[in-house]
Amino acid sequence: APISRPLTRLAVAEALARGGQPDAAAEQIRATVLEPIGASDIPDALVPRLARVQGLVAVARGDRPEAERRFEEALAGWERLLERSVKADSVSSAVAALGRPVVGLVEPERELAKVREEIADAGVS
Amino acid sequence: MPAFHDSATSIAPPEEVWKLLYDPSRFPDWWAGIGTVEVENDGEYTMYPDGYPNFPMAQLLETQRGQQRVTVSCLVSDLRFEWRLEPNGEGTRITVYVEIPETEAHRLDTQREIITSSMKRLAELAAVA
Repeated sequence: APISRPLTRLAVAEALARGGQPDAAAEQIRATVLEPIGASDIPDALVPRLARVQGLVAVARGDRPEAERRFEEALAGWERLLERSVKADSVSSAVAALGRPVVGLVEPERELAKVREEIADAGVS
Repeated sequence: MPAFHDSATSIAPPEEVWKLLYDPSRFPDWWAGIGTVEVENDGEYTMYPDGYPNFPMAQLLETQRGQQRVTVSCLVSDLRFEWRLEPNGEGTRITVYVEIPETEAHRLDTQREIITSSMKRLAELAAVA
């Protein structure tokens, strides 16, 4: 399967943000949205992922209000996806197999938990 | 087939416009005439026009690798909207190409107005995001 360039860039952005390089991380975020995106990149899951990484950049910059705003944005996106995946009949077999809702290969509950941990770690409300 | 182009510029960076464009659940926030949206999966969603909460219109949002654009197709009216984003200094240039089937040609002028106001709203909303 082809590697997802947008997801790869977001992973690089996250690593740069956590490594204390917020400007370089922001450049990777910008590059992410300029990449060609296909259905296999699961675009609607990219939106909250990107918001979360923007939150990490804000944490790296010491900007707590911005970090809170971006993490809340990510939470709202994942909650929408979780609600959708819980409603979808097509998910029932995946839920039966895995015991939890999924969107494609994305697990909104796990992503939500990740963002909540990052909110706690960053000390934003 | 009737068609038109339109463009707008936002002071917002591309990633802020992109998040609004690639998330159908946000379309009611900026796309004129859209009342509510129910997202299903894999780009499929149902749009309910403003004032018509009981008139579902199936839509498809498609992205294709190798092409830097997102296409929204109405599966009821066959209207098709191709959106592109490009950096413009620190901001973003938003362009759209709209195709209207011959059977809907009478809607051309209305769609031009809708798209013009929607692009303006998209540009403004991204700037305050």
